[in-house]
Amino acid sequence: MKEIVRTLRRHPGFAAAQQARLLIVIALCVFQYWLLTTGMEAFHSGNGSIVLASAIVSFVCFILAAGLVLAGEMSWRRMVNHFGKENEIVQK
Amino acid sequence: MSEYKAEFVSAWKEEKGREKWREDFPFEFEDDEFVSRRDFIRFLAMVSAGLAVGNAAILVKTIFAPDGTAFPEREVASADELTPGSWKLFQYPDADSPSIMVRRESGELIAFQQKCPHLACPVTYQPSSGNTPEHLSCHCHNGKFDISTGKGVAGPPRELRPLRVVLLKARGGRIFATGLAEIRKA
Repeated sequence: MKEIVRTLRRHPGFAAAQQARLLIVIALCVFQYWLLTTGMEAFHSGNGSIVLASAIVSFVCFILAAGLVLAGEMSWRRMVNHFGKENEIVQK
Repeated sequence: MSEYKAEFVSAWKEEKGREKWREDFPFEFEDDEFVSRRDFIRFLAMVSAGLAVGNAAILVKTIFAPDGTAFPEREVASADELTPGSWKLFQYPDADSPSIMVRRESGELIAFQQKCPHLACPVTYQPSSGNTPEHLSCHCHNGKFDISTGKGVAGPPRELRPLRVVLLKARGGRIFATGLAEIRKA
C-alpha cells in the first residue's frame, strides 16, 4: 500500500486535481460561513426572504462540496486499483 | 533489566539493526498527528454540512417565529414622567429585550430597542452639545444613531440594520408600548 501511495504522490495530475478540489472546498466553506452570518443578520432584522435565499445557496454549496469530495474518493480508489494491478503485473 | 534480557535485546538490535519494540510498534510519533489532504477535505465536507444545517436552522426559526403582530401592550411610564432631554429604560416585548424611551428636546416621545445591531451593546441617549445634535450612541465601538429614525449615522451601525422603533400610545395620562415597527428595507 505504501508503494501505491508513493506512486500516486508522484503522479502530478492526480496531486494537482486533489489540490484544486481542496482549494475549491475551502472557498465554498468560507462562502457558506459568510452566508450563515448574513442569514443570522437577516433573521434579527426580520427579513425572511434573505434567510430563505441564504439557506438554499448554502445547501447548494454543500452539495457541490460533497460532490467534489466524493469525486476525489472515487478517483483515489480508481488510481489505487490501477496501480495495484500494475504492481501485481510487475511482481509477476 | 535482567542480564538475560539485556543480552537478548542487544543481540536483536545487532541482528536486525533496530530495537524489537520498533517492530511491535512500527508507528512513528509524528505520523499520529499527520493529516493527509484526503482527511482534511473530508473534514471540510463535514464543516460544510454543519454550516448548511446552521442556515437551515435559521430558516426554520424564521418560519416558526411568533406572529409579528401579536405584541402585548405594556405600560411604560406616565405621560409627564420624562422631561425634555431625559430617557427611561424598560423591557419590551419580553424581559430579554431592553428598550429605551427618550423625551426629545423638542418634546417628542420616541422609543427604540436598546441593542446595538453591531454587537448588541446597549445604546444610550446623548443630548445635543455644540455642533452635535441629539442622538443615540453606542459606546462600544463609537456608533451613533439618528434619534428620529434609529438609522446608524456613524461607526459600524452605518452598514447594519437600524434600531427597531417601539410603538408608543398615550392613554389616560399613561404611556403604553404597543408593538414594534416594521424594519424598513434599504
